[in-house]
Amino acid sequence: MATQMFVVAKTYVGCGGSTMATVQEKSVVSEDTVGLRVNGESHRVRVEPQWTLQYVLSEKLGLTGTKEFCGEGACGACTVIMDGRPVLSCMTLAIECSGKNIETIEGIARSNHPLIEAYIKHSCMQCGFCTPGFVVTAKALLDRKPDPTVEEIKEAMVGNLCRCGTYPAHIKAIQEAAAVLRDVLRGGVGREQ
Amino acid sequence: MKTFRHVSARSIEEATSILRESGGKARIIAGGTDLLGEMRDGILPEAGYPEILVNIKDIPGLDYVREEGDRLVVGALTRLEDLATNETVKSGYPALGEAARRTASPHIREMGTVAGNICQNNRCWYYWVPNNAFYCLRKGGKACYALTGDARYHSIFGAARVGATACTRACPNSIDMPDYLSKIREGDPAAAAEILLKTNPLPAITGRVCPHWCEGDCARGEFDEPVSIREVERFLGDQVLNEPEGFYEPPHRSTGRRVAVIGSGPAGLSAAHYLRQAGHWVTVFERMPEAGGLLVYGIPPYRLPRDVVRRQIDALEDTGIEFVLNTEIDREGFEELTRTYDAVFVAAGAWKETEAGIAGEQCLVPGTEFLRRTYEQPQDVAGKTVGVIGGGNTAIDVARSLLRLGARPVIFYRRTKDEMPALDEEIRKAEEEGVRFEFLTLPVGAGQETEGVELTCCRMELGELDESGRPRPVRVEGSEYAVHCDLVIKAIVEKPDYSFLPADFVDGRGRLRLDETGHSLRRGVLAGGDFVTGPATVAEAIAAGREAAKYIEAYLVGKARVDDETAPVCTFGQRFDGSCLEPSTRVEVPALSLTEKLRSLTVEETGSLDRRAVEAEAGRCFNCGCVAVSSSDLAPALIALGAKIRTSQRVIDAEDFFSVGVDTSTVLGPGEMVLEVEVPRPGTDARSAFLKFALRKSIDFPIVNCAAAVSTDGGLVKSARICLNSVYGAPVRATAAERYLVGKTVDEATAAEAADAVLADALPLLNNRYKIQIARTLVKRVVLACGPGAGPGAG
Repeated sequence: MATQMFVVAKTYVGCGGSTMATVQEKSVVSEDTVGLRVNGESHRVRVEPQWTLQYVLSEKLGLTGTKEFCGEGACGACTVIMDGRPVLSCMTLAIECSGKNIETIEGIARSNHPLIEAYIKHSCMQCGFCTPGFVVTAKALLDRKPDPTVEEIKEAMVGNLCRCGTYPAHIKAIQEAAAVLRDVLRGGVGREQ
Repeated sequence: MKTFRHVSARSIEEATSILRESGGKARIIAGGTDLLGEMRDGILPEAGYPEILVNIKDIPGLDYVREEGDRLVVGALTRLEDLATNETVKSGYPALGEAARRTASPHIREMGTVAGNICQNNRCWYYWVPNNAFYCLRKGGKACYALTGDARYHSIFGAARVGATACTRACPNSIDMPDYLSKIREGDPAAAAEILLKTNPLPAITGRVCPHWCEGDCARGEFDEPVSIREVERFLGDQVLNEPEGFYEPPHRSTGRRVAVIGSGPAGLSAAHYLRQAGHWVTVFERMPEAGGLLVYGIPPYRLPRDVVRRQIDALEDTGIEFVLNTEIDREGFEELTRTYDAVFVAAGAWKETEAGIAGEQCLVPGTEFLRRTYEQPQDVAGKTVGVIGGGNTAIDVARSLLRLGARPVIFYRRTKDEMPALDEEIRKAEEEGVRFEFLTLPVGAGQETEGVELTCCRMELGELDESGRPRPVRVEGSEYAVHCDLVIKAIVEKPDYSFLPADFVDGRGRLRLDETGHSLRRGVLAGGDFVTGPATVAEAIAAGREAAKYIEAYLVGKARVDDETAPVCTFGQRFDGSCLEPSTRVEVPALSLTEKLRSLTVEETGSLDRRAVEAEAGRCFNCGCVAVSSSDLAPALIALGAKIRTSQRVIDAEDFFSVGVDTSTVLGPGEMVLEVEVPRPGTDARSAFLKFALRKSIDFPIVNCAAAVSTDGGLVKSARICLNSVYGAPVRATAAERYLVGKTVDEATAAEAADAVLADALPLLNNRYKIQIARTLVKRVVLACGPGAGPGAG
């Protein structure tokens, strides 16, 4: 587990003289090295304050499955699961992710999650660029709701956009993956059915 | 993305102290989805970004939703998704739960916090276009693009002023044009004139001769034609001269201090007026037989009739300003003035002819002398060819006067039309009237002949840029040629004459020694106008006079500092009428025909607008303001439910929490942050609902959203609270509809009636009238949802 590092700000813009001293005493500033726990593995990464989580995952950790498309929180391509919540890594500063548990498409694929198979079976992608975001969002949904209704699926996936228009296929894939997961939980054979 | 310093605060105290001590350079990042988008897309001008981001997400204990007694309390850092899915909220506070559920997409709800939602920036499509593509009013630019463009995410209840408008900023006197034009629209020209006189005591004069930079920057110019501001000013100026009572009055008090003003041109008159109004005795000294300086002896009467100047001087004289005419101040006289008066203001203008460096210069007539003589005793130049050397306003005035005297003027200018320092409007008129121009021509020699002057000229070409930023004219070798003129007038740069000042006021290079303020020659002795700047405009001279008056006032009362120019007030939240947005053309100004114009030196070339035309022109003012909307989904729900916002300093009614602003959309002060939202539990007889109209079900911001909370007694409405959002810079409480509903049953008819009441005073923009219909429907439906037999979404 990565340790969360905090140091006192050494220089502090806009706060000179005596006010600086008071700020120094109280202020705890994230160091530029953060500890990230990604797909169960700990990483220590040097980050700049303006770097997004998506940038760090993709450019610093080589996890290129997390895509940036719109860059403004409208498409869901960059979705990762952070402490159980599906969030947009293009709108999250990496410096604020110290000590957080992050799950990316690579982790979901490695765990052989039934969503992967279901997505392939139902041809949920054409160009495939948006697919990791859809899968991660769906995984977060199934983690919370093992048996979602169609409405609940629609509502959960509404922040993911697909320019190829594959939407109907996703609903089927997610329902199927949910069924497989429920079987697994019940001790059934799951995917082989 | 922009770089910044990032601080993770561990406590509320730490976060607020950083905010306070940063001097406005720090901003809170709670959800961050807006702020990061803003920084990454470069939507702001360079200086607009925070230097420090204070992350408050790690502050423990601010993430909770629970009922405490008869109220719901929600921590500031509660994620919207947690609020939307909370069973207590869904069942007991449905408007709030539904508002949270309809906010953005699930991902954004998982990241976004309650406090972040209610503190979000006001929304505008243009504002958010990357790379500051629309440099709009709100960012410090000139125009609001939504007034006449696509305006779905914009106000239907008018705009909010965001500081000085482009016209005001362009004006040397910072006249608040939209403000006085509003007064005319309201049918109160007297109030309009008062606003005008605050920073310009000579509106009848500037209304005729000002180069009206305001019109050049008028936002309407991009749309159809700029508002004819100068003509309105002229109308108001004439009004106050026709009935000066109430506008030019002696001051109520007298300080007993005495100020001498040397020169009765616009700078001197302006200073004299403001000093007199401050209660001082003011004496203006003028060397000529008539007061007005440049206004009388420089600007030709067909542009500025003498009687206008006379009546203006009379009005000022009636306030108790003393004019001493025919009195030239020499060095001795100057020393005496400084001894006998408490303060002296030197505004003697720039009248000294400079050497043109032409061989045989003595046979040329100076331009200012020609203009002066023309006024006193017009010369007979009919039919004669007259050369005019120069490219400034004096050269144009001389040439146009010559035309009116029947002469054939030719202007010789060494550069091209583009580099002429004269005002474009004047150059255009000169061309129209038939003044001949010889550009790229430099007279180098003049020889007196028995009949007229032989002028030797040289052709020029443009070279490298010189220190004035204009291309330097370079002689073309061997291009000399001779021109015969009956008379040649040189109208090149005039300079101030410092010969009457004590020697120590002028430095070795012949420049005035002014102090660091740029006004004072010595304590209590100030200078301003053309005397300091060289030839400029009437408007700039007025500004200089007013500025000097402030310094003199400060000196006389012993104040250490001079107040800044009254910054135009930012009237956030004020409602502005957008009904002027249909295309329209400028009202035509009555003008003489070309032949009529050229017939007389003294008949004014343009007429005044009548009152109706002035009102039409005032009605064309966009009254520029920001029409971005408050678009929080939680805001209307919180207001409808009568919630309170607890901050680090106070508890505020949700209704009072939002404000219409540029950098902030809330009333939070520096270092203040939201800690909690408290919602009173609705009574058993109460229902609440929230509805949102957006283009897509998720992600998109609302076109309109609306919440209502209605309590009934025996089927009749006891009380109702209805709030619309995304229709104005702040949430709009629908009080008219609320009042209407009390005592009635909720049904189709009453709900529709209530909706009409809300939208009765809507002020849509050119392209968003449809939002009224959407808003009306939403109000009706949200009211119905709170009534008996309401479906899901209500409770």
